[in-house]
Amino acid sequence: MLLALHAPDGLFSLPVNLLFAAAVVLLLAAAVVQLRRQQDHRLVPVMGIMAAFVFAGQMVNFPIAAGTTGHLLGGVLAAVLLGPWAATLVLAAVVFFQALLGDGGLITVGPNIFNMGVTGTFFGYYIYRAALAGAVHKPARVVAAAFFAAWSAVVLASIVVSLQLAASGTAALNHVLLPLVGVHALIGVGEAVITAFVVAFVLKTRPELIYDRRPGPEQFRPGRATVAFGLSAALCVALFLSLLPSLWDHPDGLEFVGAEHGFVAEESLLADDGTLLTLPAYPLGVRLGTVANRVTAIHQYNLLSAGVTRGDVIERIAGQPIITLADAEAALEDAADQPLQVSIRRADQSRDLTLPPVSTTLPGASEPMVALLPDYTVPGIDGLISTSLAGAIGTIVMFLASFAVGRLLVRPGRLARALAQQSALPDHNST
Amino acid sequence: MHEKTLILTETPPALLERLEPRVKLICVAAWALCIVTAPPQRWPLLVANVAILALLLVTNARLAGRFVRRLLPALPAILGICLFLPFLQPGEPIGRLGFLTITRPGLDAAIRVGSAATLCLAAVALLWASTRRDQLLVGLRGVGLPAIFVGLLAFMLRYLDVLRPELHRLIDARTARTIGPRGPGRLRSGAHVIGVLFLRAHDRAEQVADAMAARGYTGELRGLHTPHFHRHDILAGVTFCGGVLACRLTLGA
Repeated sequence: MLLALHAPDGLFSLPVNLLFAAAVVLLLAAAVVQLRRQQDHRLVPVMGIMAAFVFAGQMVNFPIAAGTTGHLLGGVLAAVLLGPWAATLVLAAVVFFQALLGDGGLITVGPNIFNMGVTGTFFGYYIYRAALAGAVHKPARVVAAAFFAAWSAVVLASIVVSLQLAASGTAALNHVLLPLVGVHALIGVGEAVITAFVVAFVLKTRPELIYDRRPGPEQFRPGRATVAFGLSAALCVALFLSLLPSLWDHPDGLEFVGAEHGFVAEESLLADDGTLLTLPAYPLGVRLGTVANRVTAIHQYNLLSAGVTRGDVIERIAGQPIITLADAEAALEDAADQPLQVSIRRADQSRDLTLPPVSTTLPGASEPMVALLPDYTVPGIDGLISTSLAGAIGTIVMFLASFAVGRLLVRPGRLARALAQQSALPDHNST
Repeated sequence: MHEKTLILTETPPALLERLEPRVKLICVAAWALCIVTAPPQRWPLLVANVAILALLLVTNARLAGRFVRRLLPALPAILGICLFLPFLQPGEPIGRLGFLTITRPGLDAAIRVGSAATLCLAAVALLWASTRRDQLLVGLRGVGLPAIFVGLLAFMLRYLDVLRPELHRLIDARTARTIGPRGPGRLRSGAHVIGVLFLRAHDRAEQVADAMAARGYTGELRGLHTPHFHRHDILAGVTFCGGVLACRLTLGA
């Protein structure tokens, strides 16, 4: 159940499409290699019919709020039933075919397979295994782990979509991330409940069909697999983020606008004692109006028009004593586009001036719609390295958090036991 | 589906129906690529693309019905996404809707995405309307998709026609036996339908695989048709791809 995941053509930029298509192709190739190892010639017919099952399962409509309906996405469900590799291939076939049917774009098929398939069948499956912590033979834990993994996969997919939209320049990340993740945190509950019910039903009727209960697959080691998965996920996100030059356009908005409009900040205007050394051809005082770190306006205080000349000493700005240029900048920052009180000394004579601001609102840089999140800037180490680092750290934190929640969830397992209990009732209606 | 009906009438197939499926797939991909990579606000390019579409529809008027049936169901989704986009970018405000601000970059993005998505959808709908499903699969294999993936698609398509009626039978049976549970109960019974469908699909998959193995299937899928290019196929493909590329490069520069 996802809102904007059948992404139509044009929603994502070409680099994003190609990047995710490449990632999906690599993963599918890995899946084919893994499945070929089983030497099972029944693979293609069985997986094809399972793909038809997932396709048909997505046609069952469930009511959500306000008369709208949603359908199952089924990534985690497919992975729990078929295993991650087969499920990845199956979901890829389903999404690819839906693209040929016009449900989701043709060029955006790479991101679509990633968002609707891989996040559930691969990342979701590993969250499921992590939450399961080896307790494959306890039905309540399997149900709880599937529930949590299905919810996590939907939320994860919405995060990935937000990043893709931001990287494509279609929407600003701080506008799109929180609404999209918020909505999907709610929608994900529906996906999770249905996934849990289906898993509970299969556990009750044919428990041997659950992938991890089948004889054969090697014993899962949560510790090593978790670490390997967490690190590789972090690496993927870091690589992805480092390829986004325009994710946060102009991280240092102040410097950018300053340079753009010819306000050179580096040039030393004041001597150490506050003497005005050079007389700039441009106004001395520049205050930038910002909303959520986005420069929206320039407020200038023109010293020239007030009769200040070279050699004058600026003593105070708005009551603040001025010794260095940094003091002047700080005082201007506090001025808040009010008329500015400037005390200057010329030949041992002090004068007080009141400078009215000359304000310019920048075109195309007005207030954002809803700045739910601030823009992020890392002072000093802006750019590729800091973005990758932040992405990697963020992913590890997210993964550890979901792992911890998963472990907590399977401990008491009251909800899970209740779910398993409910589904364990004989069901004559559907069989 | 139409491919199963015996054609007794004398009407010749439409132009696009006669085109080789591989050529069609490459043409659609090239066209979609040209549409998606178009810089924003190149109105002449948009007009040219719409004109190409109109030309294809006029020359293949017989496909119009199928084309519209493919196009219409997918349009609301595109519209829905485009309705959100004007609010999702900072920039010059041009209107207000409650506490939301419509910005110019947001509106531009909505127009760009909306036009590109609709045109690409039309291209895919035309492909679908003019190509039989088996031809499409042969074409997909022909343009280099791995055999295992195309085989998977083929089985999916075949058994979708089996599982879909199965699903409807399950839903009908459930409706007939219950008085319509509300709330979480409805989720549960819907989930049970999916669960039963999984069990039946699984059993059927086992049976089909066993039956195929009994008939000598060793994991390799073979087809009877090996399509080959005619001169007019290559000519049409090169003309179309060259045309859309020329439009993209001259009008979208």
